[in-house]
Amino acid sequence: MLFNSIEFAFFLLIVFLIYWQLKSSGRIQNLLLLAASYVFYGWWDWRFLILLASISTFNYLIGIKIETGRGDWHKKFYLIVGLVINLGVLGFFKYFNFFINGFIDLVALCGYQIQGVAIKVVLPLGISFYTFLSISYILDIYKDQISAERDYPDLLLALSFFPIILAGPIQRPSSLLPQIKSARKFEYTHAVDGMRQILWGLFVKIVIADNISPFVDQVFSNYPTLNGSTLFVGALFYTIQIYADFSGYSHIAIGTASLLGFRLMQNFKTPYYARDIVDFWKRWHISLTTWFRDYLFLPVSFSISWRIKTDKVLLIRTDLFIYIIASLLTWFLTGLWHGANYTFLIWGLLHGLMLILYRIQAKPRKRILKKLKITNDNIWLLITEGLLTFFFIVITWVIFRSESVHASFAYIQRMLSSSLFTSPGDLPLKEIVFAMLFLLAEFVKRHKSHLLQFNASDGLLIRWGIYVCLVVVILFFGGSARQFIYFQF
Amino acid sequence: MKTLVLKFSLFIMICITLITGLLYVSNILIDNNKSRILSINQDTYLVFAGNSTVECSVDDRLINHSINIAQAGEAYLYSYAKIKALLEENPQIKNVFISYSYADLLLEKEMTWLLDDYFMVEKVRNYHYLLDRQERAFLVKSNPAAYFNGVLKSVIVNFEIAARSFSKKGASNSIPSFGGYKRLDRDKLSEDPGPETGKDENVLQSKTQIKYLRLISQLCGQHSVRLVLLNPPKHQSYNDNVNPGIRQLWLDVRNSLPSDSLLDLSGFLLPDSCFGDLSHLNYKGAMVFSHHLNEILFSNPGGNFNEIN
Repeated sequence: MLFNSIEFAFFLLIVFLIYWQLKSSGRIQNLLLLAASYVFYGWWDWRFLILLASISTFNYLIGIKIETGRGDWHKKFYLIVGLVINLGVLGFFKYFNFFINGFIDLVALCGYQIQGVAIKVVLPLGISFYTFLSISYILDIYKDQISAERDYPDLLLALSFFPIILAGPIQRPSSLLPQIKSARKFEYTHAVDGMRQILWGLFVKIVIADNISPFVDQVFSNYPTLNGSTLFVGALFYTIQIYADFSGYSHIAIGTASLLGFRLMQNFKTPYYARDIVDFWKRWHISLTTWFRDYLFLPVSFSISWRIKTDKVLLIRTDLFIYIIASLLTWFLTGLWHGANYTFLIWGLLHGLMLILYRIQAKPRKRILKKLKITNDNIWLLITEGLLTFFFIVITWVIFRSESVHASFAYIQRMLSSSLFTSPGDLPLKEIVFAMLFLLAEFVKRHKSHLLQFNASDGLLIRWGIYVCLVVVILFFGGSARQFIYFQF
Repeated sequence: MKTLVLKFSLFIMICITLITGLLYVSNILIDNNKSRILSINQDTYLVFAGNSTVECSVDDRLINHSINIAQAGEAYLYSYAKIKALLEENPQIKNVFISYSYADLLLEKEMTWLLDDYFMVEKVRNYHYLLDRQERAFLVKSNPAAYFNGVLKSVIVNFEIAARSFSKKGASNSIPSFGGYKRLDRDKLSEDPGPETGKDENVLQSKTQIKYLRLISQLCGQHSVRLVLLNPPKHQSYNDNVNPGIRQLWLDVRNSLPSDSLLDLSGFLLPDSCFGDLSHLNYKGAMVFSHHLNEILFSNPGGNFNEIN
């Protein structure tokens, strides 16, 4: 069931109406949400409900074991078991084919041929997301940040809550469980804000992302025959498409949760207006970035820093050395999290390297600016740095989108050839207009969490006029329904 | 919560009213201008219709007195609606050439060209104003969500068509959103595996495709227009690999239409560089083939049109 489908509209309406009729009992509300979440997930393939229920049950039990474990050794043991099982399941479903093929290639390099390994493992939707929820749950228990949940249905709900199960935001159980356990009161303004977010999310997904998608597909599948300028437009369009697609999904997810009285974290903050790469990652897929920061980057950094007692390692300052190691590991795994393809690994590592470069140049940059008497908030500096960052992001999205590393390099090489300065072929004008308006609207409302957050002073007619216009544009100009890009991750 | 539900209901009603109003206005605009939209030049009496095989192979600028209205992924149901509308507005039409390739009669084509979400939205968007009640009922029954999505999208197309018809001075061979020759630049012979649909006994025919092909035949008969089943050039390796069951189905259906002609040019020899893929000509192939077709049609000493028998 896609968020942008009629089925989901009816599903949400029914759940919403029944849910608020049951407001006298939070427990029954939770059971309804749990049932709704399993129906939602099972709509795609009911067989994977067993997997979801098994993982959730396992984490329920291991969470209690970690909490009640006698001594640190026991707790650690159960934590390791929990991590191994969670990552093992993720690894099997997501990376089995990747590693088997890699192994076959490696063996072939040594002159041996392996035949008969042709198991095609189906990737369960949302597995990367609910595995990360599970991992954060058991790690938080281990670190005594939360206590193990004893109410079985509540934990099942926290790990399968339908607005977020397929593609986030990765709302950790530490912040979702307290909301599940507390009584929820219907708040008119909160619900209206949720509906606005859903409307905006639908607009962004259906009108922007789905309309751009055919052109992007065409460019990426025919790149050897196209000139540099067309490829550049294709790369720019993909940059907009992936943002519109994923932020659209996040808006609908957050809005849906708001309708049910939940508050989820913001996942995007106009990332393409970031000044630098650090700023970009504070604005893009925030729930994933903060997850990796809290559960990988910081623990790895602390772990290394406790072991190194010297000021320098390999002629590099210790703090920088730690940053480099932790960053490379984090970004390697961030890339791998996105999928079993070398393109994602390279994409992740390039972002990691860029972040390292950013850190290295921070002090010299400050000195140079001081020497040139340019302040940090100089508008031209802001624009230049913003454009350079954006260009880097566009290039890395090409790698991310391409079928293979070879194809991505060939694409970039062709794009940056002299034909970049020739006239592009036929461009989709309507899509260009929509994309430009979208980016402009994002800029105008960049300080708000979404575009339809109105001020109290905005009149009813203006607000309703905008809502009606958006609905009409969605229905009349929407592209053909496509699955959300992040479902594949 | 009551306030929210009430306001939301009101909002939905406003949207429905507005959308219905726009749909109504766009339909009125189209209906009032139908003859202006669909009138073609008086000296155009050959119509090429059907799917991408004709769309990419017949350059109507190179064939005297002709218009190409074929469009990629076009099921016979839509061709029927288009031809019907054209014949009603243009009595000068003498011949209709309809694409008749081996795979056109397969159930697989019905499932994609007719019933698939993407194709239905696109075709209904473009041709909704041409469809009769019977066709509309069939499409609604088959895929209601895609059909209504297409109807909504047709509003903008209708306004576009109406707007263009206002700027049109007299009849012309340019009918907005009606298909036409498509120049194919690509050269991807290796990417089209041909009509592989399993063994002979597994050839599944499309009853709807066959039904509408027959309706096109009847329609042409009623207007005293000759229908020619046109099988445009295919690559040799495509022809060699056509499943015998598919070929037999193709022949059987052709034989069931004795009053119509068959122009089977699938074996017309062209170099590899003339193919966009195994079953489609690229622009080079289209140029050679269109000249050839023009010669077939107008080869007599007076340069008059030769009836295809």
